[in-house]
Amino acid sequence: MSTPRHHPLPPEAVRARPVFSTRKPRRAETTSLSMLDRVLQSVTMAVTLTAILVFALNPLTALWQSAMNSLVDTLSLNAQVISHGLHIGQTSFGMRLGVSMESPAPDKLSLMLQAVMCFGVFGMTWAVLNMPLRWGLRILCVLHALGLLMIVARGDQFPYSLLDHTRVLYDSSLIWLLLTPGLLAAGFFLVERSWLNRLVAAMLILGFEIIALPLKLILHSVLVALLSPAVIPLLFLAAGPVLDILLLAALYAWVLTWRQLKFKLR
Amino acid sequence: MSSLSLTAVWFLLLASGALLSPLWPALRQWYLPPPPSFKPDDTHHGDWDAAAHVAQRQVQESFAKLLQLAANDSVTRGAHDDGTAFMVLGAKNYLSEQLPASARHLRMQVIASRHLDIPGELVCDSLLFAQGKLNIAHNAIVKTALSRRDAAVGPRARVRQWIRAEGRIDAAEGAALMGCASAGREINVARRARFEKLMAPVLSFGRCEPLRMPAAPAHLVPMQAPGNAFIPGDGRWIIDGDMSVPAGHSVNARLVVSGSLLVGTGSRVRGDVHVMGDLVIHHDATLNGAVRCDGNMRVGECCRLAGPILVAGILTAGSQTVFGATELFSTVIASEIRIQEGCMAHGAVWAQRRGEVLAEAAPQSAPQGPQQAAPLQFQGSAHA
Repeated sequence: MSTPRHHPLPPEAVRARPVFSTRKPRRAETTSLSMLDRVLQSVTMAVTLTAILVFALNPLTALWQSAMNSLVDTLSLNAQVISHGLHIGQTSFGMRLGVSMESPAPDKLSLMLQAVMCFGVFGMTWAVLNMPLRWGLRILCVLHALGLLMIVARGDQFPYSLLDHTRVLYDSSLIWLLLTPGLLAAGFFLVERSWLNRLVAAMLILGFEIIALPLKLILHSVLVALLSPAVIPLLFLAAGPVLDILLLAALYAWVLTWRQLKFKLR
Repeated sequence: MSSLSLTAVWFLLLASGALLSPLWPALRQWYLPPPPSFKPDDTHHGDWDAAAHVAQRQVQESFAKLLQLAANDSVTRGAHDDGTAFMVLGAKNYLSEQLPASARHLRMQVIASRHLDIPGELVCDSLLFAQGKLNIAHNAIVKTALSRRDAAVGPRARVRQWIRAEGRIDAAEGAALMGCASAGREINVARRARFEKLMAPVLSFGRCEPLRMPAAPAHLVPMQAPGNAFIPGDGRWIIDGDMSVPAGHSVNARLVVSGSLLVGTGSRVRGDVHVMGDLVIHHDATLNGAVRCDGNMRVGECCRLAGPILVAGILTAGSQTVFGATELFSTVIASEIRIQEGCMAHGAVWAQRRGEVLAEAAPQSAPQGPQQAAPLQFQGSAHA
C-alpha cells in the first residue's frame, strides 16, 4: 500500500460548485455589539448631548430673545419680550422668557363670531371627522366656548395673562428639549446601529426644537392678539406640550426610516 | 378683532406651516381611501380546487382554439408587450418559406401549431415552440426550444440554453446540448455529441444495443477488512490509504477511503463509498450505494451503479454501464463526464463543465474489458 494521498479539489471543480454568495459583507453585518455596549453608547451620547445643551443654554436664551425681539419689531406687535433669570441654587441656567402684551378688550362682534365658529365646528364634526379626531375637536370647541363664557361673565378679566401662558410654554418646551436626548437614548439610539444616523438624527430633532421655540411663542402671541385671551386654554391644550410630543413622534418616525448614511473621509 | 398688519398674517401662516411640517405626512391619511372589504366569490361555494380546475380547462380550451385558428389560417405575426416579436405557423406553413433565402438569424419567437422544422445553419435567438415534433437541422443554433412531442437535434446542431420535449429528444452525432435538456420519456445522445445536463427517465448514449448482464461469478467471496482499516462499529470501514477489492469479492460495508480505491472485476460493494482519491471500477462490477469521489473516477464496461454519484474530477464510463435503475432514478454529477457509447442512465446526468459521448473505439484510459483483462493496479495519478 502506498502512503495516503489527499487530493485537493481541482480549481475548475471548485469553480463549478454552487456558491452561496460572493458579496463582501458590510461592516454592520460583521460587527455585532452586545446589548450592554449599545446601552453604554446610547447613555454616553445622551449625556453628552444633554451636557452640551445645558452649557449652551445662556447663548441659546440670548439667541431666542434676540430672535423674538426681531419678530416683534417686524410684525409691529404691541408686545414686549420679558426675561427673568433662571437660577437653581447658585447656578444660573440662562433666562426665562415670556411675552407680555396689552391686548385691547375684545369687542362683542368678535366674541360672537368666535362663538358661532365654535358651534359650527362642533356641528361639523358629525359630518366630516372620524372617531378619534371627532371627540378631540369637540372637546376643544367646548373648551373655547367656556373661555368665551368666562370672558363675558367676568368682564374682560381673564384669569390667565399672555405672559403666564408664554412662560409656561417656554418652560415646558425647554424641559422637553433637555429631555429629548434621553428619550432618544431610550429607544432610537438602541435600535439604530449607525452612529452617523444617530448623530445626524439627534442634531436634526434638537435643531428643529431650538428653532421652533421662539417661533411658537410669537405665534401664540399673534393668535392671542388676533382673537382674544379666550384662546389661551385652547392654545395650551392643542398647540402646547401636546404638539411638542406629536412633533417629536413624527420626527422620530421619520428618522427611523432612514437608510444607513455613508460618510467618507478623503 | 385686533388690527394686525398683513405681515403678521403671513407670519401666522408660514410659521404654522413650518411648525407643523413634521405632521404633513400624517395628513395624507385623510386622502387615502378605506381598505376594500373582502367579499368572497361564492360561485363555487368555497371549493377553490374545483374553481382552479375550471379555470385551467378554460385556458386550455382557449389555447386549443387559438392553435386551431392558427392551423387553419395563414401565418400570424405580432409582438408581445415587451417588444419581442413572434410568428405563429399553421399546419401548412413551413418556417423556411417564411424566411428570405439569405436569412441566417431569426430573432423572433416561433410558435408552430403542428411540426416545426428549423432549417440548417440558422441561428435562432428566441424561443421555439412546437405543438408537434421539432426538428433542428444540421449546424443550426437554437437558444431555447419546447416541444409537446419529440425533438430531434441534427448533426453538429447546438442548443444554447435549454430544450424540453414531452416525448423524446434525439441528439445526432456531433450535436451539442448545452444547458439543460429534459424529456418526458427518453433522451438519446449520439456519439461525439456533447452535453451538460440531461434529465429523463431513460438516458441512452450512442447506439442502443441490448444490454448484457454483468458476468459476475456464481459465488462472491466476502471480503475481510484490510489491515489499514479502522472499524468504528457502525458498518463503516475507514481506510487509511489505498484499498483494493479483489475480483469476485463482495464488500458489505460503507467505505471511507483516504486514498484511492480499486474495485476488481465482477466484485460488488453493497454500501456507500467515499473515496478521497481516485476510484477505478473494473468491468462487470456492481455498486449498490452512493458514490462520492474527490478525485477522478473510471468505470469499466458493463458495470452497474445504482446510487447517486458525485465526482469532483473526471468521470469516465465504459460501454454497457448503467447508472441508476428504471424503478429508482439516480443522479450523476461530475466536473467532466466522458461516457462511452452504449451506456445508459436513469434520472439525471450533469456535467458541470463538459460532457461527451465517446465513440466505441476511442477510449484508452478506461479499464479494459473481459477479453483484455489487466492486473489490478492503478493506472497512474488521475491529476497528471
